[in-house]
Amino acid sequence: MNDSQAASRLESALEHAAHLLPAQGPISVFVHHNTLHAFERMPFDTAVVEAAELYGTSPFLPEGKYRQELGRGRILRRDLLAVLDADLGPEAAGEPIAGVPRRELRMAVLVNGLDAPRGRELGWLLEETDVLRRPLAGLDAESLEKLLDSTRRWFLAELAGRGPAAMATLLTGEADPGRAARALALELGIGPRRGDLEQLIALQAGQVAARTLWHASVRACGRVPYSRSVHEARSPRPRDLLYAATGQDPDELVDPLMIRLAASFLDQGLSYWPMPDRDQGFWRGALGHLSQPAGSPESWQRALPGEASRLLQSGVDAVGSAIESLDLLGVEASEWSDFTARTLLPLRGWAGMFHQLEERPDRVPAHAPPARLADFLAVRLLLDRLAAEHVSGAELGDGYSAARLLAILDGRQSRGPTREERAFALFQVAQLVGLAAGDIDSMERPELVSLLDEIEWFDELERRRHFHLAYERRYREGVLEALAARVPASRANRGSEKRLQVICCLDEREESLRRHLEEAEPECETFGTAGFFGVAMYYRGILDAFARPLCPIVIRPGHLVTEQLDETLEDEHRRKTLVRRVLGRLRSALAVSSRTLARGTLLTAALGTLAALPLVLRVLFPRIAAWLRKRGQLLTRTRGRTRLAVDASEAPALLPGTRVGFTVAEQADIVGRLLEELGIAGQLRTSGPGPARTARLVLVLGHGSSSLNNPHQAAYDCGACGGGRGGANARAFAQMANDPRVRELLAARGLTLPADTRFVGAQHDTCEDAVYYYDLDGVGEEHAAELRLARHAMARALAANAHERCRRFESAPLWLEREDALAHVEGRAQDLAQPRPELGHATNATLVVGRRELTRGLFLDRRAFLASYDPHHDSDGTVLSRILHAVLPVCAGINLEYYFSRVDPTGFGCGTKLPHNIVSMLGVMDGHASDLRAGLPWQMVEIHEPMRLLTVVESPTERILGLMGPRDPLRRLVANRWIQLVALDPNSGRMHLFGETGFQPFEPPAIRLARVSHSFDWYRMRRDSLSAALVERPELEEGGAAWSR
Amino acid sequence: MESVTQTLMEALALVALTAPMCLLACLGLMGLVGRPPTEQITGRMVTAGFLTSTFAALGLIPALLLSGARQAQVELGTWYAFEGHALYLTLQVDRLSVPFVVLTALLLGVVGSFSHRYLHREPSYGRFFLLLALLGSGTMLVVLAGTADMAFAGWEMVGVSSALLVGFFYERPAPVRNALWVFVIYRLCDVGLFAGIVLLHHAVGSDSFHLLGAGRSWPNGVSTAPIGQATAISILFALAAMGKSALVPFSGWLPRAMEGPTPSSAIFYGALSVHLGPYLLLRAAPLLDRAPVAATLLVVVGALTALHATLVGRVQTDIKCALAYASLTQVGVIFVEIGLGFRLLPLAHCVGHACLRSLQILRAPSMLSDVHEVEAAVGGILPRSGIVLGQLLPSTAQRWMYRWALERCYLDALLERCAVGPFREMAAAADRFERRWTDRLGGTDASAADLALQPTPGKKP
Repeated sequence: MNDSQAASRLESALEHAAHLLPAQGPISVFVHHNTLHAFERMPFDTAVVEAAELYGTSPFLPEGKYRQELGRGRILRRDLLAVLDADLGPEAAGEPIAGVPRRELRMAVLVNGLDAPRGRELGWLLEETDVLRRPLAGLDAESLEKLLDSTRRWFLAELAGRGPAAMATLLTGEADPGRAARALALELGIGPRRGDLEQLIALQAGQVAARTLWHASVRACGRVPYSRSVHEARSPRPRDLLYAATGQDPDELVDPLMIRLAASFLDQGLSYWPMPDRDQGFWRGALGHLSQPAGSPESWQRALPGEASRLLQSGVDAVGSAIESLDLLGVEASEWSDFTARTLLPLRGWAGMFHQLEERPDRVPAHAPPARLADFLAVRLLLDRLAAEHVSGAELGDGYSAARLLAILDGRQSRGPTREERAFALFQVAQLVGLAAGDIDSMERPELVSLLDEIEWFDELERRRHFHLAYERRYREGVLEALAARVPASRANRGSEKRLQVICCLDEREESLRRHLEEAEPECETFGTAGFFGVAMYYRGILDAFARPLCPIVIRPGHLVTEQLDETLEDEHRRKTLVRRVLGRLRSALAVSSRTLARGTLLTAALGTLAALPLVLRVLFPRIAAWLRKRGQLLTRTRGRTRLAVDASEAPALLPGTRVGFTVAEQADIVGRLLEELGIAGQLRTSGPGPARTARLVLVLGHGSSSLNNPHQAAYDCGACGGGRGGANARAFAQMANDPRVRELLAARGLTLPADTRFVGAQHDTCEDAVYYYDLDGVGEEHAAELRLARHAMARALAANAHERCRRFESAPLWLEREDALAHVEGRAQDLAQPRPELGHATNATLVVGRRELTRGLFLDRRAFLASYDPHHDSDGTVLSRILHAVLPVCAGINLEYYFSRVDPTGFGCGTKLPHNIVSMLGVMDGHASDLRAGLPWQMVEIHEPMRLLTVVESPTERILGLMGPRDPLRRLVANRWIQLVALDPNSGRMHLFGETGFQPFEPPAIRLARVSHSFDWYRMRRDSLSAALVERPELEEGGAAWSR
Repeated sequence: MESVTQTLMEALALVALTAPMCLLACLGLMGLVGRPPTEQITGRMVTAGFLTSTFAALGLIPALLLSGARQAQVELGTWYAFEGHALYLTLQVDRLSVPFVVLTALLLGVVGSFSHRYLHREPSYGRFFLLLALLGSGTMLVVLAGTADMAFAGWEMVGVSSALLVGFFYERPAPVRNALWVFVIYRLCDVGLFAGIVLLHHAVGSDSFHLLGAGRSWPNGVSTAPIGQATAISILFALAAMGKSALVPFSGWLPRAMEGPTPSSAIFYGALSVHLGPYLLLRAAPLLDRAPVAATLLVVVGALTALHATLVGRVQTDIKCALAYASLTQVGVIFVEIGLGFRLLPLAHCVGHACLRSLQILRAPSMLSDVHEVEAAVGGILPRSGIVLGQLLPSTAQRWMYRWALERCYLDALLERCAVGPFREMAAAADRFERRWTDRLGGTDASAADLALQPTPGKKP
C-alpha cells in the first residue's frame, strides 16, 4: 500500500467515523434531528440495539420503568400478548416448551422479570438471602400450587425409590453422601433420615422446592453448554486493553488536554486570548502549542515536546501523521475504519463539532476556524500513543504492545456466563411456570436445550424491546380509536363560512392553542402548516445585528428580507441606536473589565456592592426586574411603524448568494402554494359563486420562545424556521397575501381570493403565552369588527392555553386559578433560576396530516403535530408529496431526538442542566472539562414518553407509497419503521398500519369518546398524560346550527 | 441607651448565627429519622431560616452604628475549662464581622431562593439544601466567632460542605475525583489553621480575638505578642487562608470545583468560601501588624496569584472557569491589600467582589442570550478585548505564555509530583509492608484475592 492509497483509505475511514458522531451544530442554532441518523438505513429495532452497543448507551427505557407502567395500566397485558403474538406468529406462540406454551412462558418472564446477578452478587444472593428458602415472592397462586404439588409428589417418590441419602444430594447439590449429609445438617439442621425428610417436605415444601430446583437447574445447565456467541469488541483501542489489563485509564491523561486544545481552537470569543496559529488549522496549531519548551511536568508528556517538534519540522500533514500513529500502535489497515471510530467516540461531542464546522462553516456564530476532523484524529492518536507508552511502561515495565496485552488478557477474560449464572435464570423461570426439580431432571435433552435457548434468547434487551412495542401500541390504539370515532362526523358538511381563520405552525404546542381558540370562538377555524409559511429567507430586523436564516435547515435561502423603519422615525431611531450602542459597549466593557486585573480591582472594590441590587431583584423578584428592563428598553428601542422590505429590489444584498426581496411572481407562488396545501385554494377554485373559503380575517401565527437561563433556548423555537422565531415569516406572508398585485396574479391562475379577505401576521410566544400582532395599522375600518373578535378570542385562548400548560408544571399548584396561569408562565420566562421555562416538545407523539375536521374538538393533550391537508383537492398527490417531504423529516427528527434523549438521558441526551457550563459559545460541558454534550437536557425530556412518531395521513395507501422514490429519505424512515405510519382512507375511512410487510388493514374497535364541554373539564386536577376526549359545546350539539354571538 | 443597643446587638448576632444552624438541625434530623421533608417544605424552611438570618443581620448595621463601642462580645458560656485552658463560646460583633454577616445572610437567601427553583425535581434536592445550610452555619460561625477555636469549627464545616457539593453528582467519576482533590487541599492547608491556633494559645494565652487586639475595636486592635510568635502564627494562618482562597500554588482546585450545580459554584467560589481566607487574615490583623515578614509573604503570594489568575483567565474557553479565575484575580489583589496593611479597603473589596461575582456566576447559563443582546445593541460581533497585553510580547514568547496559561501553569501537576506523589509512594510502601506481614502470618497470598477485584474490560466505568 503506497502513501496515497493509505491516505485515501484513512479518508474513507474518517468519513465512516464522521457519520457516527453527533450531528449537532453550534447550540445557538439548535436544530432537532434524529440522534441515530447514521443508522436510518437499518430497521429501527436492530439499529437501536446496534447503536447502543457501539455507544455504550441504552436503546429503550429501563425494564423496571416499563414494568411500573404495566402496574399503573399505561401498558395492558393484552398489549403484551398482542406484541408476543405478532413477534412469534400465532402458531409458534402456542407451541409448548416443557409443557408450557411459549407465549405464556414469555409472558410470565415479562410480567415478573428475571434477576441476572453476576459473580459475587449471585453468591451473596444464594448465601445471604432467602432465595433458596422459599419460592419467588411474585408467583401467582396457580404456579405456586403447581410447583409445590409437583415437588411433593416427586420428592416422596424419589425418597421411596432412592432412599434418604440420595435425597440429601438432591437437597444440597453435594454428590458425595458424606459431604451431603454434613451440608444437610448445616443448612437445614436435619440428618439424612427418612423421618426427618418426610417431616421436611410436609412442613417446608416451599424450601424443598426452591432448594431442589436450584440444584436441578445447576445440573441441567451443566448438561447443556452455553451456545450463544459471546460478543467481543473489534479493534480494541490501546486504552481498552490497558484499562482491562492494569486498571489504569490512559484516557484520563489524554482527555483533559484534548478538551482544552479543542475548546481553545474552536472558541467563538469566550476567551480574550485566542489560540495562536489557529488559522493554520488544528493539527499545526496544536503541534506548535505542544512543542513549546519547558512543557508539562506530568511524566506521560515528557516525550511530547520533542515528538511534536519532530512532526512540526518534518512537515507531515494530519493524515500522514495519523497513519504513522496507527502503524506504531500496530493497527492493521483493515481495522482502520473501526479503530478510527473508536478513537473518536470517547470525545464524540468535540469530534462531532469539528466535523460540523468542517461541513457547515456558515453556521458558526462568530468566526469559523479551519476545522478538520482529520486534524482532530491525528492529535488524538499522537496523545493516545504517548499515553499508552507511558501507562504500559509504568504498570507493565515495558513499551506498549497490543499482542502482549491480548495475551495477558486472554487468560483472564470470561467467556459468557457461568453455569450458576445461567442456572439462576432457569431456576426463576421454572418457578414462574410451575416446573419443579423433578420436571427439570426428567427433561429430554432437546427439550432442555430449547427451554434454555428460549430463556437465554429472551434476555433483558429483548424484554425491553417487547415492552417498548407494547408501550407504543397502547398509545397508538388510543389515538386511532379516537380518530376512527371522529371519521363519520368529519364527513358531515363543514358548516357555514367562518369569520376568522388562523394559520398556525403545525407544532404540537399549538394544538392546545388551536383547540382553545375554536372553543373560545366557534366562528374560528384553524389550520396547521410548517411554521415558516413557505417564506424561506434571511431576515434582519431593525434591532438585529445580523441577518439569520428563517427556514428549515435543509434549505439555504436565496432571499434577504429586512425590516425597515418609517421615514418619520429615522431621526429618533438613529438617536436611540446610538444610545443602545453606547450602552451595549458599556455593558460589554463592564463584563470584560470585571474579569481583568486592574480594571477589575477598581470596579469590584468601588462599585461591586451595587451588584447586590440586580442580584436581589432578578432572583427574588423576577417579574419586577423584567418590568423594569422593559421600561428601560423603551428608551433605547424605537417603537413605531416599521415594514418589511418584501419586494424584490436591485439593491445589493449583503449576503453572498442572496437577492433582496421576492418578485411578485415569487410571492404569488408562495401564497398560492400555501393556500393549496391548506386546502383553501381548492375551495376557492371550485366554490364558484358559493361562499368563499377564506374568512374576512386570516391570522398568520408564527411562534418562538423567550426564556433566560437556557443555553438550549434555540431548541424551543420553531423547528421549521431552523430554530428561529417564525413571526417575521408570518408577517412577510401576510404582507404578500394582502398585496393586490399578488392577488391579481393568483386570480390569473384561477385562484381568486375574495377582495374583503385581510391577512394579519402575528407571533405567539410559546413560553409566555403572549401574541404580538404585526402591521395592525394597515387593517382598515372595514375589518375592525373581525380584528376585535380575533383579539378577544386570542386573549381568552391564551389564558386557557397557559392554564392547560400549567398542569404539567409541578411548581404550579393543580388548583391554580385560571386567571393566574398567565402570570405563572410569564414568571417562568423571566426567571433567571428556572431550568424549565417551558417544556418544549416534550410528550410529542403524533402527527396528523389531514383535514382539521378529523381532529377538531379532539383533546390531543398537546402531543399532536397537526398539518392541514385536504385529500379531496389533491387529485394526483403532488400536494401530499410536498407536505410529507417538508413535514415528516422535521417532525420525525424532533420525535426521535426526544426519544433517544429520554431513553438514555446521559448517553444520548446531555444529562441534567444543573452543572452545565457554556464552552466556546458552541455548546455545554458538564463541569469544567468534559466532552461537549450533545442531545437534550434531562429537564426538557423528563416527562416525555419515548415512542416513535405515530403518523396518520389522510390518504389512500397507494398514494403514500407512490410518492416515495426509491432513494427517498422518507422511504427509509417509513420502510425501516423509524415512524409508525397509518393511512386513513379519505373515502372509506378505513385505516392501514405500515408494518414489516407493508400496509396491513387495521380496524380499531369502535368506542364512544368521552365528551366534555370544555377542555378544562377533562384535564383539571390531572398531571399525567391524558387520553383523547371530545370537547364539544352542548349548544352546538343541540342546536346543530353555528352558535352565534 | 448604650446597654440597650449592646443587648440588641448581642441578640441579633445570636439570631443571625442560630437561624441557619436551626435549619441545618431540622433538615438533618428529619433526614436522619427517615422522613426527609418534601421540596415545598424544605423551601419554606430554607426561606424562613435565611430570611430570619438576613433581617437579624440587617438589624445589626444600625445597632452597630448607634453603639459607641463599635463592638460587642456575646458570651455564650464555657464549653469546658480546666487548668490552663478553657474553651469559651463567644461571638464577636464589630466592624469586621457585621459586613460579612450581612453579606453571608443576603447571599444565602438569594442563592437559596435561586436553588429552590433551579434544583426543582432534582433527586438530590434535599441533600443540596442540607449542604447549603451547613455552609451557611459554617460561614456564620467563622465570621461571628469570638475565639479562634470556634472559627476553626466553622472553617471545617465550610470545607466539608464545599467538598461534598463539588462531588454533588457522584454518579459520574469526574466530580468525585475533583471533590477529592479539593478535600485533600483543604486538609493540607487546614493544618496551618490548627497549628496556628495551638501556637496562639501558647503565645497569647488565649484564643479570643477580642483579647488579641487588646480589647480595642477592629481595626484598631494592637497585639502584644512577641514578633517571632506573631510571625509564625500569621504564616500558619496565611497557609490556611491560601488553601481556602485557592492562592498559588493551590489554585488548581478552583476550576475543578465547578463540577457542582451552578448556584453552589456561585456562593462558594464567587462569594463566601473564597473570601473566608481574607476574613481570617483581617481578623488576625493585630498579629499581622507585628509580623512584617508574614505581611510581605502575603503581598508576594497575592501578587503571584493575581498575575497567575489573570494570565490563566485570559485563555479559559468556558464561562465558569473564566469567572473562577476572574474571581481568583481579585482575591489575589485582596491579599496584597491586606499584606500592605490596608484594613477597610480589603473589607470593602471583599463585599463588592462577592456581590458582583455571584451575580455573574448565577447568570452564567444565560450567557448566550446576554451576548446576543449585546451584539444586537452594538450591531455586530463583539470585538476581542484583552489581547493588548499578549501583543506586547514577541510571538515566540506569546506562544509559550499561551501554553503555560492553557495548562494553568502546571500547578496541579507540580503539586501532584511534589506533594501527592511522594505521599502516595509512602502509602504504597506501607501497604507492601503490611501485605508481606499478613501473608507471612496468614500463610496465604493476599494479593491473589485482590486480583479478582480488577475491573472487567469494557466501557468506561
